Amino acid sequence: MRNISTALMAVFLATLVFTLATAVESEFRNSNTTASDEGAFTKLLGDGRRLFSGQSVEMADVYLHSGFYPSIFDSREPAAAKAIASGKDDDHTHHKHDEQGKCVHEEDHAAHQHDAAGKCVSEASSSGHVDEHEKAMSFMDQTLDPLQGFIRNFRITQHSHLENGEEREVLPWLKLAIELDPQAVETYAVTSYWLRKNLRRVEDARHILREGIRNNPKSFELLFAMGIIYEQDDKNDSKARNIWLAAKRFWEQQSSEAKEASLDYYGKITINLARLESEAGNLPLAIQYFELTKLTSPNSDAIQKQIGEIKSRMTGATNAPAGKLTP
Amino acid sequence: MNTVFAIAGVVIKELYRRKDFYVLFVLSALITIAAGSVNFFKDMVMVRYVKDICLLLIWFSTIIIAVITAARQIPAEKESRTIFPLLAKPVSRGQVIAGKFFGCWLAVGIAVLVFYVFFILVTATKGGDWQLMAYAKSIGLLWLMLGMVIAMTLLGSVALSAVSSNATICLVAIIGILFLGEHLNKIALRQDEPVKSITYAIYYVIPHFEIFDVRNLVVNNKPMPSLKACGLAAVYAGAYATMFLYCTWLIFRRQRLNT
Repeated sequence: MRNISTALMAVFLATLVFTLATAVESEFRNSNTTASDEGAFTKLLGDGRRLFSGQSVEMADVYLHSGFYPSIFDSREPAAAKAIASGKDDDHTHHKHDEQGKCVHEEDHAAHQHDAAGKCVSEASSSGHVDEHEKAMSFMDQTLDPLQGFIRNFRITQHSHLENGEEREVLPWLKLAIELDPQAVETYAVTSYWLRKNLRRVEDARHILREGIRNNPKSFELLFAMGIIYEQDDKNDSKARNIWLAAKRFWEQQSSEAKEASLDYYGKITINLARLESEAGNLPLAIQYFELTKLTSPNSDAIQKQIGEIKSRMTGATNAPAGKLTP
Repeated sequence: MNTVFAIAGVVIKELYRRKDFYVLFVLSALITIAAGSVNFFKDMVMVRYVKDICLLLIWFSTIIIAVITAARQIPAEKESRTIFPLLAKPVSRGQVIAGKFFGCWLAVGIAVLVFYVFFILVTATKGGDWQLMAYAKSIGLLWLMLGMVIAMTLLGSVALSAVSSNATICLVAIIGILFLGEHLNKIALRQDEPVKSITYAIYYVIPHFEIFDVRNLVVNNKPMPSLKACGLAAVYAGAYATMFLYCTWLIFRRQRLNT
């Protein structure tokens, strides 16, 4: 009799627990509409997770360098840019140049600024960046310390970057960095760059940028990157134009300090819009955008030259003899 | 020598009777499998982060096993008073220390092998290369390093009274050396005298466990150190282990065994 009552009690308690669980679970779900959208890191670490986002990006940089990376004890420039982030805006290597280093126009050529001689402005800064990067990574110089010399037998001592598709190995860390800090706009741009340019995974790059724009709706950096995908990969100029216009609008809505800090982005947005309008034949609009680019460009002479070329095209078109009238 | 191996055999049996190894192995396996099962961008083979996480867990787990196993050997014998019948047999205190050391070292070696078999399987499943020579060198170097760790912990177990304090101090020292050891000379350069000379002295005196850490080479598929370098590392580890064991014997040979 006693055993039966114990068993009944256990069944009663189990039923009670089950009933309460079903009731409480639905109540909890209704009161926490955002909880289901949060990732594991948000639940575990809260806002503190952002602290580890930079570390995750650094891990991606370590992987990109195949493990050859300075420690916090090695002397390195604190301001030296990470190689993982250096290429994200640089479409320079993906178009052709003539023997003098002038850009040869290609359909997928992302517009960037040129000097008065037609040479890419980014070329000088790009080679400068390479030198700076090599300097930053020459932390392991000759050592006279015998113990240190012995330890180096067990270390990676040569600077190299991942290549031939192995760049994919950096992606888990970048994805983790995004999970840890969804407001870090640069991480989305870097991830989409590596996916698109090195791994040819345009759809994944677009997906990452969409996620970034969803989390940072006013990010002109991400809108600019999305516009590049529409223009270069989808060949959809009208979508690219709309996106870049939105990027321009969001840039203009910033405070004056923020504008000062992101002038280069404004230059990139306006010069791409100018080129788009120039190719579409909207020459007055193209001139307007070139004029805006000139305000931010370190090579205003080169921009002025391009404006001059467009103006001469306009004059040429006006002075051209009229075609035959067709009946 | 038979006496030493008989004592070592008892230590090995103790490892598989206790739960430490199983708990750490299951924990490492679960974390590695969870990390490896995450699909970041479909169809892409990404193996380095899994190797990195798995090797980190192997290092962490085997160091814990080595310290915990070595730290309780002599205090446990003293506490349960089994040290008296042991020494009543024709066994010297030096043989007890040597037996305990070899027992712990072999037991931890078995644990390292089990962990690495799991690591190689996980790497192969994720599409990684079979770098058997690299893995063999990596296992050997880790085992040598654990020999130093065990010898150091045995010294701590006769010098310090409690197992917990010895294990904690040893773990802090090992982790500190793994993180800082290699860089102490750089830190010394930035100091004024006499801190500079003291730091330099510490740099040359401490056992550099981090020498044996070739995880970065394995993860990034880089060439492993030459056999000559590995041989020198073995001599280095042997010298430090011998020094620690000798110091342990010096303390233990005259130590009162009543607790």
